[in-house]
Amino acid sequence: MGKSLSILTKNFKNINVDTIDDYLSAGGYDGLKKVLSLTPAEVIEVVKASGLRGRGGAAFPTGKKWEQAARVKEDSYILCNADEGEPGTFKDRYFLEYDPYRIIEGMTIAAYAVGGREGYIYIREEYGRQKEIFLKAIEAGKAAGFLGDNILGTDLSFDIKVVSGAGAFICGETTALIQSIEGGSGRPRIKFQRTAVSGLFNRPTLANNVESYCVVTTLFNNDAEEYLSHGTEKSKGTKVISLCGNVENPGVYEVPFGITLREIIYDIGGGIKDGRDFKFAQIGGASGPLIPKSMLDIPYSYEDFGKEGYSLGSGAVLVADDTNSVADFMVTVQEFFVHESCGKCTPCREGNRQLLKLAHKIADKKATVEDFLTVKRIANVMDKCSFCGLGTAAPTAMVTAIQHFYDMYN
Amino acid sequence: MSKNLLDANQYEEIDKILEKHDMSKHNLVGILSDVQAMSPEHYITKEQAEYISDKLGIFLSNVYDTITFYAALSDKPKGKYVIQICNSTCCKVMKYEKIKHAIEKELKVGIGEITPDGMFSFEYSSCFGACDISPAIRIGEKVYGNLDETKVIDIIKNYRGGTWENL
Repeated sequence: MGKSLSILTKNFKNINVDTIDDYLSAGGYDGLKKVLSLTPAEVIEVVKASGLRGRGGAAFPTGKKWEQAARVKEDSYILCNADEGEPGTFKDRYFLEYDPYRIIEGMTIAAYAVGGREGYIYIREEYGRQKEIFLKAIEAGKAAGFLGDNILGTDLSFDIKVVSGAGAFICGETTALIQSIEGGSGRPRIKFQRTAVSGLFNRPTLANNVESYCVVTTLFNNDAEEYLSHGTEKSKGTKVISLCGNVENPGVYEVPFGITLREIIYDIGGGIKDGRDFKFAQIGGASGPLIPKSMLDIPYSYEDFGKEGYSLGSGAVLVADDTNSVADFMVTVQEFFVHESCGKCTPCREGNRQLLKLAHKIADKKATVEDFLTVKRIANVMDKCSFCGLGTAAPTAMVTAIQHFYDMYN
Repeated sequence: MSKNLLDANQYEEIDKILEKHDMSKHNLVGILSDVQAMSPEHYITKEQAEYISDKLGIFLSNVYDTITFYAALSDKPKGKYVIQICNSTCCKVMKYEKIKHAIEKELKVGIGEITPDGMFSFEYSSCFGACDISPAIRIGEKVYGNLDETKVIDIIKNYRGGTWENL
C-alpha cells in the first residue's frame, strides 16, 4: 500500500503462529540472543537511544521508564497492556493475532533488562480469540526453551500469565489495569510512588503497551538499523496505525513518523470511500482531536502534533466524510465517555454527563453562545482536575470540534 | 452461610471454578466470568453472588461492585444469544444506525430488550476493535463485520435456525 512499511509488521499474515518455527525462521529471538550478550545497562541504553515512546497513547519515554524499574533492587513484574480500547484502534489485535512471539520476546528482553521473573499480559475480554492464540504461543515458547527456567541456557528465568479483562475501557489506564488484576473492579488509584517502585500487588512493576514491546524486540534484531532509519529526528522509527472510517482501504498499517495525514488517508488508505469529500479525522481514538481539512498536511509525529497541543494517542486514524455531522459525532464521543467513566472522580463523572447534554443541545441546534462557553469551562476543569487520563482527555474531541468547526451550524 | 436456592450441582460446579482460580479473591473477575458462562441466560444470580462472597470471604457489595462495573458481566438475565452492536466513533461514521434499525425491525425489540421467546437480547457495546470491518456486531465471541441490512438479517436467521456455526 503505497507508502506503508513492513518492518515491525513484517510477520503480519506472513507466518504461521501455531508453531514457533516460522517466527524463528523470520529472525525471531535473534533480538533476545543479542540482548543476552549485553549487560542490562547496555540494553537500556539502546532503548533510550532509540527515543522510543510508549505506543499505547501516553508517549512516555520507554527507556526512562525502564531505567526507573532497573534502579529498584527487587524483581519487577513485567506487565503488558493489551487492553486496547480506544475507539478506532485495533493494531494491538493484529500483533496478538499475527505476531504473538514478538510480544513475548520483547517482554523477555524487558525481564532481562530491568530484572524480573514474572510477566502478566492483560488482554481485553473482546479479544477472546486472540487470547487463545497468545496462550498457545506461550506454550510453544516454553516447549522451545524461550520461556521458563534458564532461558537459552542462561540464568534468565521468565514466565508469562494471561489475565482477561471483562469489558471496561478504563482498565487500559495502568493503575486501573493493576487494580483489575488484583481482583474486583478496575478503577484508577493514586500513585504515592511510581509504578516502577510500587505497582502490581504493591511490588515494582514495569508496564508497557503491546507495540512498545514489539519495537523493543526489533531494536535488537537485524531490522533495527532499517527501523531506526525511518522517522524524524524527534520521532524515530515507525508507528503502527489503525486506519478506519470512510476510507477505501481501512486496516492496520506501519508508517514512518513524519508522513502527512494526507498521505496516510489518500496514498495508503486509497482516499475517501465512494469518491466523497473529507470532512474530519479523529486522531488517537475517542480521546483525540478532530482534525479539519486545512490541517491535512500536518506531519504525523510527536513534535508536530505537540506543537498544536495534540498527541498521537493510540495510533487510531478515523476518517469521516462529508455525510457526517460534527455535532452528532460529538454526541457519540460523549456517550462513550459517559458510559466508560468509572465514576471515581467528580470532574470526569459529572463533566462528561454535562458535556453530553451540551452536545445534544448543539446537535439539536438549540445551543447558545453561553453553552459553547460552558463547554470550554467544563473542559478546562476536567483537564486540570480529573483523577486520570480518561477524564483529562475526554473533552478533547468537543473542544477541537468547536475550535475547527465553529461554523458547524451553517 | 446465607440461605440460597442453588441446587447441589451448582454448588459443585462453582466450587470447581473457585478451585481453578485458587480460591483467590484476586481472581474474582475470572471467577465471575466463568460462573456467568454456566448460565444460558448469561447472568449471575443473587444466590450465586452470595455463595461466591461467602466462599471467598469478601463482602457481597464487592461482588456486585465487580459485576456492575464490567460490561461483560451481568446481574440480570439476557437472551440465549446476545447481539451487541458497536455504537462508538468508527461505527458511527460507518452508519451503524442503519444496522441497528434493521435488527430492531427483525427482532421487534429495541436496545436493552429481550425477544419474548428468550432467543435474543439486543444491546450497545463500546468499540470492540473491529473497526477495519465496521459496521460490526458481536454475538458471543463471534464478530460479524462489513454489515449491511440484508447481511445482518441473514445472520440473525442463521442463529434462529441453528445454523449459525456454519457462518
